[in-house]
Amino acid sequence: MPNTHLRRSPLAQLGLGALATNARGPEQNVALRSIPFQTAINLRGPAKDDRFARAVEEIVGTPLPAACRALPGKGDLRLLWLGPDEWLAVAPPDQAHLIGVMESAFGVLERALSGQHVAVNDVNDNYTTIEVSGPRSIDLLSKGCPLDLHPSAFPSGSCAQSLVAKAEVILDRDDKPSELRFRLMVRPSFAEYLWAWLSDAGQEYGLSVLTSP
Amino acid sequence: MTRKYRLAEGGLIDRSKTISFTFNGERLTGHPGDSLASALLANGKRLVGRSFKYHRPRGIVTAGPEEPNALVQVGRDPATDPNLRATQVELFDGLTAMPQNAWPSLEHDVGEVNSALSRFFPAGFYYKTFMWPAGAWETYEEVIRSAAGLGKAPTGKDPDRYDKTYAHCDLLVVGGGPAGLAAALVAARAGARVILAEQDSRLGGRLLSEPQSEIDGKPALDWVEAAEEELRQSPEVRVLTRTNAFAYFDHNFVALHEQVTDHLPADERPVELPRQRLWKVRAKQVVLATGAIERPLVFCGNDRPGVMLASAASSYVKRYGVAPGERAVLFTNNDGGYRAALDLLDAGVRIAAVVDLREEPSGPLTEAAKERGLRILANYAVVATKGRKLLTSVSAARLSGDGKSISGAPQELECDLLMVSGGWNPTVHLYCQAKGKITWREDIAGFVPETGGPKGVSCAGAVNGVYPLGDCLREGQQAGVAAARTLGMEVTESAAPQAEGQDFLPARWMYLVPSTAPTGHGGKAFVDQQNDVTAADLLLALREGYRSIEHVKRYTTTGMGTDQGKLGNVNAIGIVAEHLGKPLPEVGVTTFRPPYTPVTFGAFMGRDVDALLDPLRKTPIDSWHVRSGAAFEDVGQWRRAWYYPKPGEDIHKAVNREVAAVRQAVGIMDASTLGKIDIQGPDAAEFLNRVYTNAWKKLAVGKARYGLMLGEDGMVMDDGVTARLGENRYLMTTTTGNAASVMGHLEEWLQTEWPELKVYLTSVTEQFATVSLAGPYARTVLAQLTDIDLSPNALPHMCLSEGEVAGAPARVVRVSFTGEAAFEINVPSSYGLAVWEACMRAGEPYGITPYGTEAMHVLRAEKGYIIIGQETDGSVTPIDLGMDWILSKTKDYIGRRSLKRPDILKSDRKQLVGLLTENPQTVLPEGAQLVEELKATPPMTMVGHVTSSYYSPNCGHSIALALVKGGQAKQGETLFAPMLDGGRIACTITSPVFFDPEGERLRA
Amino acid sequence: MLLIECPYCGPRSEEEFSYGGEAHILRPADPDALNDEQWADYLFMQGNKKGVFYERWVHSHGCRRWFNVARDTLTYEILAIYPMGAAPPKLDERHYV
Repeated sequence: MPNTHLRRSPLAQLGLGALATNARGPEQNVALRSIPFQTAINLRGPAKDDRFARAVEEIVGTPLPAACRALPGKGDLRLLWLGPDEWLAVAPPDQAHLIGVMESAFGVLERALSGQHVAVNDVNDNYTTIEVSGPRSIDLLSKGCPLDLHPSAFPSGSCAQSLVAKAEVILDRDDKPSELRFRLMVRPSFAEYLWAWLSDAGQEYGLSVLTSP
Repeated sequence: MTRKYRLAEGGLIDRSKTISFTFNGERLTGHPGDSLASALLANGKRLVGRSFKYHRPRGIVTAGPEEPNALVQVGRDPATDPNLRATQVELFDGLTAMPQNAWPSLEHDVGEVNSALSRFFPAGFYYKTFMWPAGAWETYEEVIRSAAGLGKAPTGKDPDRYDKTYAHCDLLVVGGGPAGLAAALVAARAGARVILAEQDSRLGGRLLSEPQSEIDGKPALDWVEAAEEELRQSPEVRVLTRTNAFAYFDHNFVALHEQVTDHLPADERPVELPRQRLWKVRAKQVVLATGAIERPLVFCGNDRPGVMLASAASSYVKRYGVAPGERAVLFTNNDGGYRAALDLLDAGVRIAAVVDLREEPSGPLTEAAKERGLRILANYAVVATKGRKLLTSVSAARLSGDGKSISGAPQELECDLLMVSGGWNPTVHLYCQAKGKITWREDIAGFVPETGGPKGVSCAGAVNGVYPLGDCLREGQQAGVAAARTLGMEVTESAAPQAEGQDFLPARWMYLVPSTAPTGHGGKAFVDQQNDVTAADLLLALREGYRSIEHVKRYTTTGMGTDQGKLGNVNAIGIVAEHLGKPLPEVGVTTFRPPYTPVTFGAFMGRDVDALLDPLRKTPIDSWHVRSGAAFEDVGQWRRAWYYPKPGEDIHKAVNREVAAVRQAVGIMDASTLGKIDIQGPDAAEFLNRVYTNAWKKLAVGKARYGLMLGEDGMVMDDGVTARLGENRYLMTTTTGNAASVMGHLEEWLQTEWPELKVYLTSVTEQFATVSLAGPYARTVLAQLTDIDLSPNALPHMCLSEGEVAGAPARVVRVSFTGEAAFEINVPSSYGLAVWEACMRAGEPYGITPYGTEAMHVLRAEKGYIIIGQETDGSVTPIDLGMDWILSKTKDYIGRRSLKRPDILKSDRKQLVGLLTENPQTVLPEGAQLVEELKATPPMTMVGHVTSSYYSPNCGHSIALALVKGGQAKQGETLFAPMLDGGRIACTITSPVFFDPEGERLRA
Repeated sequence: MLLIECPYCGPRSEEEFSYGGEAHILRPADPDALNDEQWADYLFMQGNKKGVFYERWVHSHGCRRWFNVARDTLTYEILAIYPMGAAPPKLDERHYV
């Protein structure tokens, strides 16, 4: 078994632990949190083929989400729509075994779906996650993101691939009415830039840093 | 304070507080609520600037963004802004402003000599005069630019912070006057997401200057206050004041410029707030309630300080509690102009006379003026003005029967204020930027939006040429209702707010007021004060053959600068039309370009400056490089370790040491930046066959192959090693700089040309960190960290194996860019640093040496390996590179057909060669041009250029790669690289492979 | 700044997209069957029409999918969006001088 303690967050050198608090203060309208090492699996396949859709549902515990939507599955997993034949399964770090499960299931599936093809990719380390939460989240993200993030256009359960400043991100809105929460999945090499950009942009709202999970 | 100008009561200023400011070095005072312009007027400062070209004394003309003269420089370098309109600058305690374009001082201006010599400076003067001799323009330009300036750019780094943001709404309302407020209110009540942008610090528009108006039977400003309160309480409404909608782009994308803290004293500006904010608004619907701007009259001497728009004079009295003069004359062509005379009369200013161009003045305001006993000179024109730095009198004379000339003797009217009204120009700038068409309305002499314009945009109020207050409110409400309904919202009908009011008609249109002397003689009649363009200049342009109004604009500069035709456009068109004998609309209008008013560069940049200008991408091992004192270089957006200097080492010593270590011991390099693309599917091999020049169908699982990728034009695009991971799965690597473009290229071909291929592509560049170990001890070092069998038989060159390295799941690939036996260790990127550190520890006894990109370049150049972007530049084919061996003859691939074009097959194309310098210690400069035949001075026939050049410690001499015309057939020939200092470097053409040509070390 | 309706993600801002030039220029099935002039025409020549133009776009910062757009190059109005491989829709020609 690989020694997961060897893993290092792309934001490790920022020393976020020292800055972080467990809760947001009343005047702190927006908070950032680094969530490294998420399990992430990229899935490709024919959405319209029921056998494919069923096989995915069996493994992740949710049907394929509609365009620009994300659905919760088993074990804190979320299945994000990325494109007409592309999805991203995101789960906590301890769900890494799903990749093996998915790979063997898809191997069987591809043989069964004669004439179709499917693909699985372990993209755990291809992304890291920065969470933006708090009442001014939308104002903060809108400084760099051209999407309309208003609840009427981007309600909880929405996801999208877009830009925040000059970084490509996958936005996943997963929140309760009481608190706005967006997860930004970004390539690790852009993480420091994006973190710095969001920190700067959040200054006027009294930005705080929350403890990583 | 000069009490005689500040009125005892009235206006929206706070007389209980006095604040001080500096203008032109003089300390003055004003009140909160003042603009810089109103405070200057209250202090009796009537001369505020010098004109652009002639340095004529100029005063405040307007009370809004259309101000042509009162341009000021606010703040101190580097926190300074040029070209601000004093009419828009809010007064605050400690404000510092300087007039512009006056040297050495406002009162004594050296450039005024331009004015005396003005008959030698007509339109187009610069173009005509300074074009000879050709080379001298640069000298002339410098002198002209310093004489004709628009303020000074800051010299230091901008200390302020700026913000920019996207915003989305159902309805954007531009203009917070009565029409805009009515539109915003009704849409907000229907539940729409509304943004209301108002350039002023306060909502209300014209009502701020007409506080006597009533809406629904109450004072109009009470209605404005209630409307503002309601809008600000609506959760889905954003009210932005001090926010100028300066540009309208496609599909209802509108740019707003908000001045967030500019109106506050420096010590009261909250540190967390940006100084200014740029809003990039995407609106489903837009209502333009941009109002109208009063039109000046064009007559002799119309630019003297003391000449002011009539509506501006009203504003100063009503909004700011300032009398803009002591004794005024009104010069008007319409009934509406009388409003100012009445307002000033109410404020106790003497009205010497009204000069009315109309033959029989009539209309409600005219009648009111008559009742008040004002002296009206009907069918009269102002033909001249007097006063050096301030108006002292005007001359008025009777018009002839046809109105085209003067018939009587002029009479002089003493005054220090001449209020001018020539009608109104609807502010159609944004509507035109939205690609809306405008149409001429003769009755109001204005261009108004055509009905049924572009999708999603409508106009309401004065911008439509609708002036009575009640009509503006109704139009605004209708526009708001229509916008909400278009969006599918339910709107409950309610009556529009009611108000009395009239328009400014009747009027008598006259674009160039006749004078006692022909145009161009006996005084200047300005059409565009900001650009110092006179009626005579326009006529000169026409005499010289210019016909298109766009050409006239460029030749005379009318309507340029911050003005953009706000004041002068219709008058200019009217004068041109009259002269050409054409109906005015046939002359057409010039393009209204963004920005409506100037926007700071800071706002455009927002926070994308300094470290946030562009992403600096870092590898998972970057922190180690930093700790180890690496020098970095940027490769695309990536920061890569360039070399690792030890104390006392310069780049050459460090690189020589690193290069030697790789050849003699073991080197370690961070290759994580290479692009990586996962390719899966039953047709993956066929896909590779089409995108690479060589054959892929027979590559076995577990093996890797070098591939060359061309564009369809046959030019080399990228290269890299692709490994076969499984039956239907490959992992392609690309060069660092081309990772994204190669991914895009592959997706494009797959989706647009070959949708039948069953292939999926996934970018996995950052899934893996790549640690490359190279050199004689590479195997020994790696063997300590892994159970993977690394022996040459188990893992030969261009093969891969999977297992664990230093506790991380890893894929080890035998691939070499150095010519040494090398192992590329790919691990999930979060393990990258740990694996790197483990390699360093394991390699210590063997002298492991980290090497950067510079040493890598030397090592590969010794082997004659190309670097995309260094040996190639988009015009180099594989044949030019001597890489014919990689071109399959048995299959088609992207770019193959182009390689048969006759141009590509010519033998004198630039081809890749090696160069050895005559003196082995001399290193050719990269980029040096090469010649066969030296001459004493250029020009010489250039036959090629150096693409890569280094000192090779392994070879013991310098080495270079070059592209040379027909070079492959010129082995052994001598070339010269002429140097800038007159010297030259002689070199001999050789093979591009300088080291281990048999590749024995590689396979070890 | 256009608002482009990605057929998969819905309306998005132009900056998420990249332009792909004129649509419906297919790669010749047998490039060798073309003479040099015909090949150069395929390779380098694209229309530059004032009016309705059929062009390709890719949602490069979004779902990475290519699609076709019919756009009025004068007004920038987007008249139709249709998938790769589909025939262009029949649209009224617009004639501009």
